[in-house]
Amino acid sequence: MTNRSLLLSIAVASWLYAAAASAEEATAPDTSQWSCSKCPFESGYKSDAELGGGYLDDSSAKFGDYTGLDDKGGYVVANAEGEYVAESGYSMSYELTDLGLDSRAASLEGGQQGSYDYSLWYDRVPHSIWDTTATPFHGAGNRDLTLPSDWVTAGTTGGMTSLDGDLHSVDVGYDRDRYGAAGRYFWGQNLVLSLDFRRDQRDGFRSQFGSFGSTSTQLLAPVNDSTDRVTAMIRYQTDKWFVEVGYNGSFYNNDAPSWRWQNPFTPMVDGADVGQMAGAPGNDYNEIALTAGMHGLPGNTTVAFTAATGKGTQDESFLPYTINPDVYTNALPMGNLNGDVAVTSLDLTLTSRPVDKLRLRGSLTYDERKNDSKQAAFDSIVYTDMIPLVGSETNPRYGFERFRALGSADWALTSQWAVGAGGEYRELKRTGTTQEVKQDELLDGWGKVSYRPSGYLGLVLRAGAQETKPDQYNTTVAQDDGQNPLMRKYNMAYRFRQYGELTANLALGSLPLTLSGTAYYADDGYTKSQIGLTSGLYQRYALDLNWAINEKFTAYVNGGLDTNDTDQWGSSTFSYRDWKGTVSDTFTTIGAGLTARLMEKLSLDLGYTYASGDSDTKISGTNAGNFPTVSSTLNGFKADLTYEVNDRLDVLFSWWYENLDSRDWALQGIGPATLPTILSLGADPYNYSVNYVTLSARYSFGKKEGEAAKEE
Amino acid sequence: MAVFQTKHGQPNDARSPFGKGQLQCEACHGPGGKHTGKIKKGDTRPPMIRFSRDSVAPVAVQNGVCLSCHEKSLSAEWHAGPHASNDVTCASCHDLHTAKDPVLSARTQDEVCFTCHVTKRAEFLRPYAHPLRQGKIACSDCHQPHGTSAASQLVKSSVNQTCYQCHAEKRGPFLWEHAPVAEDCAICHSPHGSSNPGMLKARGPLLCQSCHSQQGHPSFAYGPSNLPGGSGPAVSTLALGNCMNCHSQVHGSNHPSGSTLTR
Repeated sequence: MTNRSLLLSIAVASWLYAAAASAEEATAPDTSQWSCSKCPFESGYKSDAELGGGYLDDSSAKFGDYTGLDDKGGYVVANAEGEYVAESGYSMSYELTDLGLDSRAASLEGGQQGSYDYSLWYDRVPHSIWDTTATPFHGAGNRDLTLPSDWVTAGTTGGMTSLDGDLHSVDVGYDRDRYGAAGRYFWGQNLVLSLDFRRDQRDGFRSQFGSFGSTSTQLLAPVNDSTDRVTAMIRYQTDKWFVEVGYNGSFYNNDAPSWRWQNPFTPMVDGADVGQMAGAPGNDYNEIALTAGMHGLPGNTTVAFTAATGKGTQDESFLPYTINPDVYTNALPMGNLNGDVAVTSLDLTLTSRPVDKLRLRGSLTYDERKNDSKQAAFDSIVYTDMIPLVGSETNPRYGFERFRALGSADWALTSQWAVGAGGEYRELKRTGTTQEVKQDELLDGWGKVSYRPSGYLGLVLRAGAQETKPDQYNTTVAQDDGQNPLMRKYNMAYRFRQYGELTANLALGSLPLTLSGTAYYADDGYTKSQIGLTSGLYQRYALDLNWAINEKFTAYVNGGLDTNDTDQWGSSTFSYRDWKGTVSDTFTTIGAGLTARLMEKLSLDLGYTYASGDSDTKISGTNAGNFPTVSSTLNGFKADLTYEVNDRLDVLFSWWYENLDSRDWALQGIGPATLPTILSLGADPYNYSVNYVTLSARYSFGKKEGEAAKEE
Repeated sequence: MAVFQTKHGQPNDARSPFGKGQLQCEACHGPGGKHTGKIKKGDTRPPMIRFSRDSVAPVAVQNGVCLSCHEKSLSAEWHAGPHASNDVTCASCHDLHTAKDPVLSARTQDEVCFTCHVTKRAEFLRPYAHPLRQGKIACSDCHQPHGTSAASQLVKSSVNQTCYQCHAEKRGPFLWEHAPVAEDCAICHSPHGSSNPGMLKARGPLLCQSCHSQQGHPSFAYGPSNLPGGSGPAVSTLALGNCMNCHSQVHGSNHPSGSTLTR
């Protein structure tokens, strides 16, 4: 093959011989008769099916969270995948994963490459939250939680004499079933049409507290809702520019827009026997977006632009102020919110490389949330179905306008050294109901030095400073809300941040060894805050080593250390600050693994994970003391062994061991009746030690790789 | 030979490197003549283009080959995106000689991203995190690696719009809004993982007290003596869900009596 395409000749010659090399002018080859008789092109049908059994030696909600392995016992191992490729190029493939588990998934994809494609899929995401919990309530998952007929109410949990007999175990959690269908059609060379529909459906229950005055109950709130999403897009694209118009719709429907529970405490006022909680209201969101871009402009410039406008609506009917028949209320000022939120976003991004050594990047972004929901004075608010509040409250409407401008420049000083600098300006205007800070600005500036002596080593050091500055912290607004005038809410406070990051990538010469590392720190000072968050120091270090030892062995080791230290102040006397909360979090991770082809027919995958976190909270000043350390230590080990019996049959064995030991003062030793004013579910901190072993066989049906070529 | 199990190895798509009239292996790796031809003694054999993060072939050359076919679909979004600006090669993420490119599967994508974003691995190993480790969510569910206009390459225009994809129940608008919820979910949550339940940035009541200082229970110092078994009275604002033991509708309430987020 002596002929060369013009394009490739230029590309490769410029790389091999630099500018001085003579770019070889060549005639485009006549490839019309080229064929590859030895290429094992895929056609026909092939499929792998795996079937076997697994055993989990202990139950754990946390281990089963998202994996579906929550109950001790046997599981079916069932996986399959297959593909059909026609001579015409039409193809279809499917994948069935973990069919024997609650985390099962299935997908089907097909199409004519370059003409159209489609996909259908299903995925269950099991969210198991607790299995150490118990409740006296019946009706979990329904909209009415009722107590047994023999229930004895009392002013505190200690007096609930029938509690022990009425408690029954309950596993808390819900499943999220996700379905989807999508398709794309390539209309000629330049036009693409696509349509995507997906549904998320949740079913089960979660924990939520419901209170009556100063007493509260940890309840099982129903989760029974769905979200439908539709995305449609038309895109016209060429080698230099594109324009795309899209529609996004999201429709949330809640089949449990409200739910009730019986008060297990002796009602403090007449009629407070049953409470009613609002669920999340159903809502719709519709958006259209225009995106366009062009590259290859003079100076190697690229421009990309996006404009999107959307509208969210919500008109769920209001519940009554209270279901307490003994509390008189006025009529509601409106039957629903007529919720109306407009969202607008605009973005213009520009990158340029006017000369080879210089690259420039800049963007302007505008983002707005405008809340035009109806407002009204609610003059009969009943606090926790018990106490009518005096006066009226008007519902707030929060909105914002955000503007962001950023720019950066990188200059290659030499083939090894480069420097860069950049900055960012952000402006946030809070619209709608007045908040303490109406407008704040963020200014960020950074510099960067990078050193790449070869393709084997790269070092980048980046450091900068950032200032977030409110135009004015309006203490009148704060005081109207009952806030201490010295409080500076942390997301609105003045903040000065210094930060730096070092990243390194190293490939050790001819050794197949790559090393990546990062060290990051950020030091925040809320220097104008007397009460609220006053400082934060965040450090992150991570190292990742991959070693392709030889064709049969590859190994990896990684590690990480994160620390967060924060200080905040408060005033228990509603005057000057008199207590300080200090939180120190440390999180350490270690991972290691090995992939080995032990023998011609035997391969092994090993992986070890260690993750340990400690969080120490200390209160100084008023009510001083050190909280017990909140900790979690995870040790996980996985081994997968595959033995190839013949070219169609594999036998697989896997062992997954995981141990989690956690301590948390928020849960430790707190049973359903431990707290006098809270009837809880009595959840324990997560602790488990499980082994999950599987043995399965995988059989390949249909054609094996390369058979098509052999037949030719 | 796994490339023949990928889209690049399809002979029936005229655009594929192995499509009719295409240059086959040389379509990507460049002309092989110099590589296989005779060389003078002592000279280095000119290499073919190798695609990887540590290849000697310049990034522009590597990506130029990919873009010679994928220019239309990636277009300006890629060129304007931070991965392109930071000289990330296509092959840093994509493995084209594998039947299943790991970055295209939710179960294996995270390890590809962690190759460079090394600190994120530790974040997702925290006790409360999105189910990346379990393969039920992928980085690309929230981030668009080929470039978007949004900060952090989010797939939607803002943090909240991205979160609402799966958490539409938080979208509202609610009758009684909690101001930071409408502004930015990340004011309270660490989406990559946290040691605190709910992926909160800090534990309550301190997290709530970094904004709320009203006279009475919001401003008190809650020390360990207020835990059950402590020397002081066990208070209902410290253990379990702390402030959310009563104010459980922290994302907003649509109940007419929900102004304090208790209904």
